[in-house]
Amino acid sequence: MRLSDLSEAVVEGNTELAERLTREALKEGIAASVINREGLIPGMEIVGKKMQSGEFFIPEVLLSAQVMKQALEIIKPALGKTESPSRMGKVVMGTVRGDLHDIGKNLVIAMLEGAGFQVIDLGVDVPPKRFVDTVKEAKADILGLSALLTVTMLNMREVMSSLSAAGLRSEVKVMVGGASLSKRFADEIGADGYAPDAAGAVDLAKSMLKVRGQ
Amino acid sequence: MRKSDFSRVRRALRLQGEPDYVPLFDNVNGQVKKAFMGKPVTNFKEEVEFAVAAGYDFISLTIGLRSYLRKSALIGEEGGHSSKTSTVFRVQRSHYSVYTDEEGDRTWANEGSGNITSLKEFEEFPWRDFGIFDFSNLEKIKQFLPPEMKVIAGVDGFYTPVWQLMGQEVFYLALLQNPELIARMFEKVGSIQLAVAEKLTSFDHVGALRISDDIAYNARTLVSPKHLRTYFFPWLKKLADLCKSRNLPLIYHSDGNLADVLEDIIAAGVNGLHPIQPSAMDIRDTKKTVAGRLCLLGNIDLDVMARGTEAEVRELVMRNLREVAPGGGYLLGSSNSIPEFIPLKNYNAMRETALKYGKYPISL
Repeated sequence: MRLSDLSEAVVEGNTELAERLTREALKEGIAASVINREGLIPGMEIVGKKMQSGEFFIPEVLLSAQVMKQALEIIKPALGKTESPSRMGKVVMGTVRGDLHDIGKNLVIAMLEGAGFQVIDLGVDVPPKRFVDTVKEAKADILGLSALLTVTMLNMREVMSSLSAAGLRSEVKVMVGGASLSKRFADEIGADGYAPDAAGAVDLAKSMLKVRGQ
Repeated sequence: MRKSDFSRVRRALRLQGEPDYVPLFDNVNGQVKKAFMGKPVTNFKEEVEFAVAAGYDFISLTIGLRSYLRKSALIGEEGGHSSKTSTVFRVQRSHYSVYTDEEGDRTWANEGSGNITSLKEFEEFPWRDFGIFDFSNLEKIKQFLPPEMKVIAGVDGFYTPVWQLMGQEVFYLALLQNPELIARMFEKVGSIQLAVAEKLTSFDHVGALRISDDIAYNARTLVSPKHLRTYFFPWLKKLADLCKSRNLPLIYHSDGNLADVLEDIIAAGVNGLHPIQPSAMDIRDTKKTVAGRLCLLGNIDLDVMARGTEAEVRELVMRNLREVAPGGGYLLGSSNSIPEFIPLKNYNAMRETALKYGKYPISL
């Protein structure tokens, strides 16, 4: 089988085909890490490009992410033995206190996992202390903050100052996103970057880790 | 204070040249109204007093599925609503307001899985509960309206109630994997909301209709224009046709970047588009694109109104008065609404600047 066909199945959102091709690849003795790196991840990269070009919208991205996740479940047992789940980097993600907006964050998580990042999802309405504690315990490379409303996005300031107070600010890169956010606000609060959509978040995460020399 | 006169709103929406003043347009939160008036605004008499004092030519009233479901969430199952209607929204308590140190409630829709995730659940949903909406507020308000003031009656959407009932993620995946469920949801919700609209247009003190239905975010539409043309725009057109038959202009509200579907919005028959979100669309470019075909409303940056200075707010208003208002076809207001996190000083800066300098012909 060709791993490019697996990439195509992810792009098309074809679960049945993706699962069949994944099993075939394993049967043919292709390493799980190769199936992931040369089959699944390139598929999600294409999805990301199609989202940025306006060809794919939220439904298509969600479906492809779901297909990738299901294919990953098949290779996970083998993958865990040969490859660190945080090979690309470890990201802690959450929506800030008072805000219950979920879908934007979940899309970013789907794209980051699709790109090979390990993501810890703290959910919604997350108090600053929980962000800080999780970043510390997980030794996260990146912290991603999401908010929908102008008033709740202001709670991101508190997260930033909590990181500084805990002596963690220089240990982790911070990226922010959400409908009310802007680069201007990101700069104001001292975040390391702002992404306008899920595909942009992946590019941003990769560039952040390049800067750190990872 | 200039006299309230809905004819200037109508003239702007109908693109009939410049009225006497640039009309104001916003939905204002109760806490902001209270701060403005110096006392709570709790009944229709006080609502009209606020509107007149603040410079508006209309009162807003919204009736429909979403309003019903929000109320259900706040009342809950114990208050008499079933779990199928009281759990469509979640209530979150947090500190949202700049007017009080107390925490307040906001209702949030399910962005994961909602109450209708399958055809079976669609059949079992208590649709008959939505057969009767309460229009008594529209009847009550009439006695308090000055003769030149009208009601802008709101229908709370077609697209949004569909995803709110299904949960957003379920909705998105169903667009691709369960089109039959999507079609049935739009047919059911569309019919319910159109019936509400039909009733709203029967009141002679209703001067326009407004539909609030977000289909876009900062970058583009949430779903493909193809899906919107299949499911959403046909209902928007039915609503616009109804308004046309009753000689009422229609305002359509959607946040986000609508550039890819502007022509669809115009073709549906909408008269005014709100709010031309500044972080998504440039209102000057949009005006050139739609010139003579669509009235534009809103656009004063909500982020600046929430976090900026009064001078920054005034500058935005002056810019729009200079560059967007000439020729008519513009109503000035915020780029969403005036929620409880907009300081009064900034709200007043917007209003007062618009009222002072918004006399036609604009010469700034």
